[in-house]
Amino acid sequence: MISLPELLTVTLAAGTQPLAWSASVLAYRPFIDPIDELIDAHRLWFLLLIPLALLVSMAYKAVRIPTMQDFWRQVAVMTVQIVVAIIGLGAASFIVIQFIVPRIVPH
Amino acid sequence: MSTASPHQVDFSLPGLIGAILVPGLGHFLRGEKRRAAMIATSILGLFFGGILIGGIDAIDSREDPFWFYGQALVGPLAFGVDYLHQNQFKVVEQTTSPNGKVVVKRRSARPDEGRDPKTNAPTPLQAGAKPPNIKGLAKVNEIGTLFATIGGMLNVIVVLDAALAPRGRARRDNPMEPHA
Repeated sequence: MISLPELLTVTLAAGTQPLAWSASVLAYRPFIDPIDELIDAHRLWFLLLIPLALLVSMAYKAVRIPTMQDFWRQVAVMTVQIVVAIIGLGAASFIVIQFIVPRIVPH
Repeated sequence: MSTASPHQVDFSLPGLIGAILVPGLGHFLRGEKRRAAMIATSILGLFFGGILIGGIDAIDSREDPFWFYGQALVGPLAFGVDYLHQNQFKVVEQTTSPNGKVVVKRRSARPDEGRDPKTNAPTPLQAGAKPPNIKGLAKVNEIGTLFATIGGMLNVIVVLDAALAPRGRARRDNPMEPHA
Protein backbone atom coordinates (compact mmCIF):
# COMPACT_ATOMS: atom_id res chain seq x y z
CA MET A 1 0.00 0.00 0.00
CA ILE A 2 1.38 3.39 -0.99
CA SER A 3 1.47 5.95 1.82
CA LEU A 4 0.15 9.48 1.44
CA PRO A 5 3.63 11.07 1.75
CA GLU A 6 4.93 8.69 -0.94
CA LEU A 7 2.03 9.55 -3.23
CA LEU A 8 2.56 13.28 -2.73
CA THR A 9 6.31 12.91 -3.32
CA VAL A 10 5.78 11.03 -6.57
CA THR A 11 3.12 13.45 -7.80
CA LEU A 12 5.10 16.58 -6.96
CA ALA A 13 8.29 15.13 -8.42
CA ALA A 14 6.44 14.39 -11.67
CA GLY A 15 5.14 17.94 -11.82
CA THR A 16 8.48 19.62 -11.18
CA GLN A 17 10.61 17.64 -13.62
CA PRO A 18 11.36 19.39 -16.92
CA LEU A 19 9.16 18.34 -19.78
CA ALA A 20 10.66 15.57 -21.84
CA TRP A 21 10.34 16.68 -25.44
CA SER A 22 9.71 13.83 -27.79
CA ALA A 23 12.32 12.96 -30.42
CA SER A 24 9.67 13.44 -33.11
CA VAL A 25 8.81 17.08 -32.27
CA LEU A 26 9.48 18.27 -35.81
CA ALA A 27 7.22 15.61 -37.25
CA TYR A 28 4.35 16.36 -34.86
CA ARG A 29 1.11 17.12 -36.69
CA PRO A 30 -1.29 19.09 -34.46
CA PHE A 31 -4.92 17.85 -34.44
CA ILE A 32 -3.84 14.66 -36.26
CA ASP A 33 -1.39 13.07 -33.84
CA PRO A 34 -1.99 12.91 -30.07
CA ILE A 35 -0.19 15.54 -28.04
CA ASP A 36 2.10 12.98 -26.42
CA GLU A 37 4.02 13.02 -29.70
CA LEU A 38 5.08 16.53 -28.66
CA ILE A 39 5.25 16.48 -24.87
CA ASP A 40 5.07 13.80 -22.21
CA ALA A 41 1.39 14.39 -21.49
CA HIS A 42 1.03 11.02 -19.75
CA ARG A 43 2.99 12.47 -16.85
CA LEU A 44 1.13 15.78 -16.55
CA TRP A 45 -2.33 14.66 -17.62
CA PHE A 46 -3.94 15.87 -14.38
CA LEU A 47 -3.14 19.50 -15.28
CA LEU A 48 -5.66 19.20 -18.11
CA LEU A 49 -8.36 19.45 -15.44
CA ILE A 50 -7.75 23.21 -15.33
CA PRO A 51 -8.58 24.02 -18.99
CA LEU A 52 -11.44 21.49 -18.83
CA ALA A 53 -12.94 23.20 -15.77
CA LEU A 54 -12.41 26.66 -17.30
CA LEU A 55 -14.12 25.80 -20.59
CA VAL A 56 -17.02 24.01 -18.87
CA SER A 57 -17.50 27.03 -16.61
CA MET A 58 -17.46 29.43 -19.57
CA ALA A 59 -20.15 27.47 -21.44
CA TYR A 60 -22.32 27.01 -18.35
CA LYS A 61 -22.12 30.59 -17.15
CA ALA A 62 -22.69 31.98 -20.66
CA VAL A 63 -26.18 30.44 -20.65
CA ARG A 64 -26.89 30.73 -16.93
CA ILE A 65 -26.19 34.29 -15.81
CA PRO A 66 -28.80 37.02 -16.42
CA THR A 67 -26.27 39.63 -17.59
CA MET A 68 -22.73 39.32 -18.87
CA GLN A 69 -21.32 42.06 -16.64
CA ASP A 70 -20.04 39.69 -13.98
CA PHE A 71 -19.12 36.89 -16.39
CA TRP A 72 -15.39 36.39 -15.78
CA ARG A 73 -15.63 36.57 -11.99
CA GLN A 74 -18.35 33.90 -11.99
CA VAL A 75 -16.34 31.77 -14.41
CA ALA A 76 -13.28 32.03 -12.15
CA VAL A 77 -15.30 31.05 -9.07
CA MET A 78 -16.88 28.04 -10.79
CA THR A 79 -13.51 26.93 -12.22
CA VAL A 80 -11.97 26.96 -8.74
CA GLN A 81 -15.02 25.13 -7.35
CA ILE A 82 -14.70 22.36 -9.94
CA VAL A 83 -10.95 21.95 -9.44
CA VAL A 84 -11.26 21.90 -5.65
CA ALA A 85 -14.20 19.47 -5.81
CA ILE A 86 -12.31 17.07 -8.07
CA ILE A 87 -9.25 17.22 -5.80
CA GLY A 88 -11.56 16.51 -2.87
CA LEU A 89 -13.14 13.57 -4.65
CA GLY A 90 -9.68 12.24 -5.44
CA ALA A 91 -8.63 12.60 -1.81
CA ALA A 92 -11.84 10.92 -0.64
CA SER A 93 -11.30 8.03 -3.06
CA PHE A 94 -7.73 7.69 -1.82
CA ILE A 95 -8.87 7.52 1.81
CA VAL A 96 -11.61 4.98 1.05
CA ILE A 97 -9.39 2.70 -1.01
CA GLN A 98 -6.20 2.94 1.03
CA PHE A 99 -7.54 3.11 4.60
CA ILE A 100 -11.23 2.19 4.89
CA VAL A 101 -11.53 -0.75 2.49
CA PRO A 102 -8.51 -2.62 3.99
CA ARG A 103 -10.18 -2.35 7.43
CA ILE A 104 -13.57 -3.74 6.38
CA VAL A 105 -12.40 -6.43 3.97
CA PRO A 106 -11.29 -9.56 5.83
CA HIS A 107 -7.68 -10.59 5.15
CA MET B 1 -35.74 48.82 -16.73
CA SER B 2 -37.23 45.58 -17.98
CA THR B 3 -40.35 44.33 -16.23
CA ALA B 4 -40.21 40.88 -17.84
CA SER B 5 -40.03 37.98 -15.43
CA PRO B 6 -36.89 35.89 -15.71
CA HIS B 7 -39.16 32.85 -16.00
CA GLN B 8 -40.77 34.11 -19.22
CA VAL B 9 -39.06 32.79 -22.33
CA ASP B 10 -39.11 33.68 -26.00
CA PHE B 11 -38.94 30.88 -28.55
CA SER B 12 -36.59 31.63 -31.45
CA LEU B 13 -36.55 29.31 -34.47
CA PRO B 14 -33.47 30.99 -36.04
CA GLY B 15 -31.77 30.69 -32.65
CA LEU B 16 -32.58 26.97 -32.50
CA ILE B 17 -31.41 26.25 -36.05
CA GLY B 18 -28.30 28.41 -35.69
CA ALA B 19 -27.29 26.75 -32.42
CA ILE B 20 -27.70 23.29 -33.95
CA LEU B 21 -25.54 24.27 -36.94
CA VAL B 22 -22.64 25.97 -35.14
CA PRO B 23 -22.13 26.43 -31.38
CA GLY B 24 -22.77 30.10 -30.58
CA LEU B 25 -24.54 30.96 -33.85
CA GLY B 26 -27.97 30.71 -32.22
CA HIS B 27 -27.12 33.31 -29.60
CA PHE B 28 -25.50 35.51 -32.24
CA LEU B 29 -28.72 35.45 -34.26
CA ARG B 30 -30.67 36.40 -31.11
CA GLY B 31 -28.46 39.49 -30.75
CA GLU B 32 -26.50 38.13 -27.78
CA LYS B 33 -23.11 38.58 -29.36
CA ARG B 34 -20.95 38.42 -26.25
CA ARG B 35 -22.65 35.25 -25.05
CA ALA B 36 -22.25 33.83 -28.55
CA ALA B 37 -18.51 34.52 -28.50
CA MET B 38 -18.08 32.90 -25.08
CA ILE B 39 -20.17 29.87 -26.09
CA ALA B 40 -18.29 29.41 -29.37
CA THR B 41 -14.95 29.74 -27.58
CA SER B 42 -15.86 27.22 -24.88
CA ILE B 43 -17.69 24.57 -26.93
CA LEU B 44 -15.29 24.71 -29.87
CA GLY B 45 -12.40 24.95 -27.42
CA LEU B 46 -13.51 21.70 -25.78
CA PHE B 47 -14.11 19.99 -29.11
CA PHE B 48 -10.89 21.04 -30.84
CA GLY B 49 -8.99 20.87 -27.54
CA GLY B 50 -9.98 17.21 -27.40
CA ILE B 51 -8.68 16.69 -30.93
CA LEU B 52 -5.47 18.55 -30.08
CA ILE B 53 -4.92 16.32 -27.04
CA GLY B 54 -5.99 12.96 -28.45
CA GLY B 55 -5.41 13.55 -32.16
CA ILE B 56 -8.09 13.02 -34.78
CA ASP B 57 -8.46 9.51 -33.34
CA ALA B 58 -10.47 11.09 -30.49
CA ILE B 59 -13.42 11.42 -32.91
CA ASP B 60 -14.30 7.98 -34.18
CA SER B 61 -17.90 6.91 -34.76
CA ARG B 62 -16.91 3.35 -35.66
CA GLU B 63 -14.46 2.40 -32.93
CA ASP B 64 -15.92 4.56 -30.13
CA PRO B 65 -19.62 4.84 -31.06
CA PHE B 66 -20.92 5.61 -27.56
CA TRP B 67 -18.46 8.47 -27.12
CA PHE B 68 -19.36 9.73 -30.59
CA TYR B 69 -23.04 9.96 -29.61
CA GLY B 70 -22.00 12.65 -27.13
CA GLN B 71 -19.54 14.31 -29.50
CA ALA B 72 -22.15 14.45 -32.28
CA LEU B 73 -24.12 16.92 -30.15
CA VAL B 74 -21.55 19.57 -31.13
CA GLY B 75 -23.31 19.58 -34.50
CA PRO B 76 -22.38 19.03 -38.15
CA LEU B 77 -18.77 19.85 -37.30
CA ALA B 78 -18.42 16.55 -35.40
CA PHE B 79 -19.80 14.59 -38.34
CA GLY B 80 -17.40 16.41 -40.67
CA VAL B 81 -14.36 15.60 -38.52
CA ASP B 82 -15.50 11.98 -38.23
CA TYR B 83 -16.01 11.76 -42.01
CA LEU B 84 -12.51 13.15 -42.51
CA HIS B 85 -11.10 10.63 -40.04
CA GLN B 86 -12.88 7.64 -41.61
CA ASN B 87 -12.13 8.57 -45.23
CA GLN B 88 -8.83 10.43 -45.22
CA PHE B 89 -6.87 8.72 -42.44
CA LYS B 90 -8.08 5.15 -42.04
CA VAL B 91 -6.88 2.34 -44.28
CA VAL B 92 -9.21 -0.08 -46.07
CA GLU B 93 -8.15 -3.67 -45.74
CA GLN B 94 -9.61 -6.57 -47.70
CA THR B 95 -9.40 -10.01 -46.16
CA THR B 96 -10.97 -13.33 -47.04
CA SER B 97 -12.91 -15.14 -44.37
CA PRO B 98 -12.61 -18.95 -43.90
CA ASN B 99 -15.82 -19.45 -45.91
CA GLY B 100 -14.36 -17.57 -48.88
CA LYS B 101 -16.23 -14.33 -48.37
CA VAL B 102 -14.30 -11.08 -48.98
CA VAL B 103 -14.46 -8.83 -45.93
CA VAL B 104 -13.68 -5.12 -46.31
CA LYS B 105 -12.54 -3.54 -43.07
CA ARG B 106 -11.76 0.13 -42.39
CA ARG B 107 -9.25 0.58 -39.59
CA SER B 108 -6.55 2.87 -38.27
CA ALA B 109 -3.12 2.32 -39.81
CA ARG B 110 -0.61 0.54 -37.62
CA PRO B 111 2.59 2.40 -36.66
CA ASP B 112 4.48 0.55 -39.44
CA GLU B 113 1.88 1.17 -42.13
CA GLY B 114 1.25 3.91 -44.64
CA ARG B 115 -1.83 4.51 -46.77
CA ASP B 116 -2.18 4.30 -50.53
CA PRO B 117 -3.89 7.57 -51.54
CA LYS B 118 -5.74 5.92 -54.45
CA THR B 119 -6.98 2.66 -52.99
CA ASN B 120 -6.72 3.57 -49.27
CA ALA B 121 -5.06 0.18 -48.78
CA PRO B 122 -2.37 -0.20 -46.12
CA THR B 123 1.17 -0.06 -47.50
CA PRO B 124 4.55 -0.72 -45.89
CA LEU B 125 5.84 2.50 -44.38
CA GLN B 126 8.68 4.16 -46.30
CA ALA B 127 11.82 5.19 -44.42
CA GLY B 128 11.28 8.51 -42.64
CA ALA B 129 7.55 8.51 -43.36
CA LYS B 130 4.78 8.43 -40.76
CA PRO B 131 1.44 6.65 -40.76
CA PRO B 132 -1.62 8.76 -41.78
CA ASN B 133 -2.27 9.44 -38.10
CA ILE B 134 -1.05 8.05 -34.81
CA LYS B 135 -3.57 6.45 -32.49
CA GLY B 136 -3.85 8.02 -29.08
CA LEU B 137 -3.27 5.65 -26.21
CA ALA B 138 -4.19 5.52 -22.54
CA LYS B 139 -4.83 8.82 -20.75
CA VAL B 140 -4.14 11.05 -23.75
CA ASN B 141 -6.80 9.24 -25.75
CA GLU B 142 -9.23 9.12 -22.83
CA ILE B 143 -8.90 12.81 -21.98
CA GLY B 144 -9.06 13.92 -25.62
CA THR B 145 -12.23 11.90 -26.15
CA LEU B 146 -13.68 13.22 -22.89
CA PHE B 147 -13.01 16.87 -23.80
CA ALA B 148 -14.88 16.54 -27.11
CA THR B 149 -17.76 14.60 -25.52
CA ILE B 150 -18.24 17.14 -22.73
CA GLY B 151 -18.29 19.86 -25.42
CA GLY B 152 -21.14 18.04 -27.15
CA MET B 153 -23.12 17.52 -23.96
CA LEU B 154 -22.78 21.16 -22.94
CA ASN B 155 -23.96 22.15 -26.41
CA VAL B 156 -27.36 20.61 -25.60
CA ILE B 157 -27.80 23.24 -22.88
CA VAL B 158 -26.62 25.90 -25.34
CA VAL B 159 -29.13 24.80 -28.01
CA LEU B 160 -32.00 24.82 -25.51
CA ASP B 161 -30.96 28.26 -24.27
CA ALA B 162 -30.69 29.63 -27.82
CA ALA B 163 -34.19 28.36 -28.59
CA LEU B 164 -35.80 29.37 -25.29
CA ALA B 165 -33.86 32.29 -23.79
CA PRO B 166 -35.32 34.41 -20.98
CA ARG B 167 -37.32 37.32 -22.34
CA GLY B 168 -35.38 40.58 -22.62
CA ARG B 169 -31.94 39.10 -21.94
CA ALA B 170 -30.40 40.43 -25.16
CA ARG B 171 -31.63 43.92 -24.21
CA ARG B 172 -30.09 43.63 -20.76
CA ASP B 173 -26.78 42.49 -22.28
CA ASN B 174 -26.69 45.32 -24.83
CA PRO B 175 -28.70 48.20 -23.36
CA MET B 176 -27.31 50.71 -25.88
CA GLU B 177 -28.28 48.72 -28.99
CA PRO B 178 -31.75 48.97 -30.55
CA HIS B 179 -33.80 45.75 -30.38
CA ALA B 180 -36.94 44.72 -32.20
